[in-house]
Amino acid sequence: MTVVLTIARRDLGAYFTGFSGYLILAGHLLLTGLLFSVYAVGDQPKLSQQVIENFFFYSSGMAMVTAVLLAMRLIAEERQMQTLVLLRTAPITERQIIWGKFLSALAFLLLTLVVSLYLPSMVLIHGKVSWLQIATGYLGLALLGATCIAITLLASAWSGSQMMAGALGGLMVSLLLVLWLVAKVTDAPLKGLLDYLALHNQHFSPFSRGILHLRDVAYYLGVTVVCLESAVRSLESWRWSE
Amino acid sequence: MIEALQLTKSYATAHALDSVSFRVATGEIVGLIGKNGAGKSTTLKLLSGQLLPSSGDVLVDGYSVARDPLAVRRLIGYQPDVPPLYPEMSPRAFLDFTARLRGLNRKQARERVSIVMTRTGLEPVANQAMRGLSHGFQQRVGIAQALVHNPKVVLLDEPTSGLDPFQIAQMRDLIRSLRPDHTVLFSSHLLPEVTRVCDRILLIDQGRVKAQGTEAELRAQSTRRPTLMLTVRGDRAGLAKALERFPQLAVSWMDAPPPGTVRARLSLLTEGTDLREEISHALDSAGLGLLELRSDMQRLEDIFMFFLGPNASGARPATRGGL
Repeated sequence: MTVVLTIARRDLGAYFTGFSGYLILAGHLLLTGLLFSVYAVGDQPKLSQQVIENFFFYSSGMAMVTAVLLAMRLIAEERQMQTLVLLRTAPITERQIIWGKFLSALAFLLLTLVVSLYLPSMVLIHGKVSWLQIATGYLGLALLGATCIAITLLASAWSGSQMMAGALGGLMVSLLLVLWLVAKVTDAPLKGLLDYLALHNQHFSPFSRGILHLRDVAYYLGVTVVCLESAVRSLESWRWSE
Repeated sequence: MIEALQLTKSYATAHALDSVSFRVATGEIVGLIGKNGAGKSTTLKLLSGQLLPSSGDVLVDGYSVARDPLAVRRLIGYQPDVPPLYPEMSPRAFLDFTARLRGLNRKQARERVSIVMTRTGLEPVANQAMRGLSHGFQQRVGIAQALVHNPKVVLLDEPTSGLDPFQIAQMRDLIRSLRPDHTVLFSSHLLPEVTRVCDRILLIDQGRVKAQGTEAELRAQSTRRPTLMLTVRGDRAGLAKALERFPQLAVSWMDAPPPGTVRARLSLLTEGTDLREEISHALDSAGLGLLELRSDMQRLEDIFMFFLGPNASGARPATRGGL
């Protein structure tokens, strides 16, 4: 665990030693604030419940984009800069490397979520929503973001460059995102499967309404673990192929 | 300490290494020499656990790189040909990170970082971002990260690459200073550097070990016959006449000797005793003034060309097994 945290700490520090971390943080805050005031609140009277639901809907999109931007560099950049050799010749496992990388991006994503807390807090103070609903929504954002980080981390392990990792990660997230549309034109039993696999529609909506289903938590954790383990296998296979 | 056993690394179309076997004893410094693409870097990558062999194995202190990779990696410090540095970090922070990565706790890491920074002369730049460091300092940071956890075995891939002569001399001293606490295997293109620093040399070509041994042993293995360089005051005809009584010598005349002198290389055609004293007497009898008579040592390049050059067919077959 110490090694995992050592890797996570270094990678988290790397976001802040260049511009990328600050840019992502500032961009996330700016767009989330804009979306909150223009669409979530808007110029028509709305119930607080509706405002919070809208806020989490737009924030989920921002969380997915931010997750892809954060995770695309994790392995691909090390490969590009030829620094991965440090990790691969250290007495640590590929699993420790992948989890350390994952935790660094997740910590950064959680930071962006925390600094956006002031937006729903305004609704909490002036409207009629419970803090539990907001907490559940944020849990959903964290789980959705973690899943997108894991998907892009896998893409990063497969790619030779950050840009390729970003493009591939974005594509994989988008494909999972639109599966619910594909499900609409598909018959059972495939329809049920595609609906279940869709990243957002069925699984995130309950969180934004303050409803916590364990099946949704299990879905996000499941996809996350599958992607991280696949990234581990990909990294292990390099020892044979490179 | 290191034992490579029939080590083979194959890719889809070619063998990068083909049944390579060698042994490196504890505390030894061994140089790996070969042309580009000969298999030097692949050998070091396999030894460091970065790659796994297609067949064969490497034992480091008895641990198998295939079966106990983590145990092997604990014993090894590895510097690849390009120093693996995070440009935004300072050498101190970077070395602390690599020390923690290799299992040292916070206190141990602090102590070891301080020791290796002193040893590699990194204190003046300890807190500067590495992106601004000269190539020489970056190379030193690369060596420092390989030493930070005090490994038993140090693997260095082209550690003098891109350094100026002064930095090369410093690097040579540093590598020498690793003995006897560390066993060192390093690759280089700079032949004199290898022979100055190493106890033994491993010559590798087309994924196979062509020869191994000390410099003297490799000289002995190469077939070129002993030669003498001779310079006398006089003319070529007089010297030729004086040397007629030595049928076991082949004479080749050297171009552009200083005025009034003549120079020749004398090759011994048969195995025999040292002829220098007899030649000296013969020249004296012929009235030729002896200015120079010395053994013409084979250049290192000649030895390496003998084993690795385009006409190296006379070289002995790939050495297998330990020394």
